Amino acid sequence: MAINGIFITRRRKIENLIGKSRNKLYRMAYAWTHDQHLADDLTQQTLFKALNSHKQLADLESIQGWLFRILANCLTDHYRMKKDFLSDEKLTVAEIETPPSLTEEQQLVDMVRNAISRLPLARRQVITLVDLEGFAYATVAQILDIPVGTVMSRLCRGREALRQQLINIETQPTKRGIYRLRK
Amino acid sequence: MPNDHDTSNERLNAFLDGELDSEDKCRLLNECAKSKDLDMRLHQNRTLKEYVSLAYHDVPEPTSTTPTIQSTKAIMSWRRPALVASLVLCIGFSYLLFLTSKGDIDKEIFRVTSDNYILHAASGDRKQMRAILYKARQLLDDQHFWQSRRIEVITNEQGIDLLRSDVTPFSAEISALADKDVLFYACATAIKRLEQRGVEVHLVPEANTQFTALDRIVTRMQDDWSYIEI
Repeated sequence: MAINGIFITRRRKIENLIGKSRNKLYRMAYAWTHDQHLADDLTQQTLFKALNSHKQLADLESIQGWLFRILANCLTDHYRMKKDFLSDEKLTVAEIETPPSLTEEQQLVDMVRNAISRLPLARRQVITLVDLEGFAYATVAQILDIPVGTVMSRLCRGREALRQQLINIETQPTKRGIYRLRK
Repeated sequence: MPNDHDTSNERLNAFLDGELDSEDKCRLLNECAKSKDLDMRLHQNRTLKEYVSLAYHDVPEPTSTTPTIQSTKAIMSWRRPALVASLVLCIGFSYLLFLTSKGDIDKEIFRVTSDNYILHAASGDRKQMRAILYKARQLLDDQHFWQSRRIEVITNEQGIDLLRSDVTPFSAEISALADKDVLFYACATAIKRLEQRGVEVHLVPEANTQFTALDRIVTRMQDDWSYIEI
């Protein structure tokens, strides 16, 4: 086993880990933007930057947080370059239109995505980093370059806003029933 | 100033996200057992977490192809021939060290990494296009007589304009570099996006289009090529 390790250089290990992270990065970029093309571009940019700056990664254990930090920076750069950069509090994304013919599951998915799209980017990022990737608050703080206390308060306010929006679904009956946050 | 409701919501979230130690968890569970409101909010937050996870379990496919970065397993399957090759290298290296100690060998020969370059152009800015072509020329001119350095220029995003025959002002330079075996690639995804927007894409004859930028760059980096982004 020790002999195998000689032939797998650190750089190659990093490249393998980066390659395996592509789908996760894309999913997160999509959750932040709800734009397939933009998510794809952001993922590619993240991978390029990661491959080009792998020497900056001191600890392989922290590679996931490092990659998502690059992704978050790429998104910030994207909005800055568009020259219509608003504060994180104002950046929301387009809602998804739900055709009536979709399954109940897809309707629920669209409702939740729409609720998330109404959140400001800052809260959307925190919620998705915690709920989709299971990052610890300290890691999310490093990824977004904010204090842990800010992570907790954005998460709290974001989930409260989602709760209010998804509870409101109760008053709009769907084809087969009413979605509710059941006990 | 956070109120009690906010503070308890933060504790509920911390519990759900595995941020509390066991003592705090027990304390919170006891409080939930005594308060229906707290218990209900805990349940609702837990459901919200599941909803978020469900909402992005399946997402639309990315438009570009997924590059294949070699798995560790594939590398390990080469260990026997790699072991033999490394032994040969060790013997050869030791011999060269011996010769060097006698001052017979130019130290440039000790560069065991590949001496090939992939230059990446993602910008439509003319100065940067000029810079990338200048870099390619410089790399060709800088090589020693015994080297046959390989250079590829890969363009994507706005950098595609470098290879668009109706847009680029650098056709002659590209042709001259191609005559010296510099290869030019236009990202297949970038071309597809332009065509989807109704743009007719005409490329210079030297441009290759069979790869996406990411695919080509990853492949070349795995071949130990040096990557330069301009």
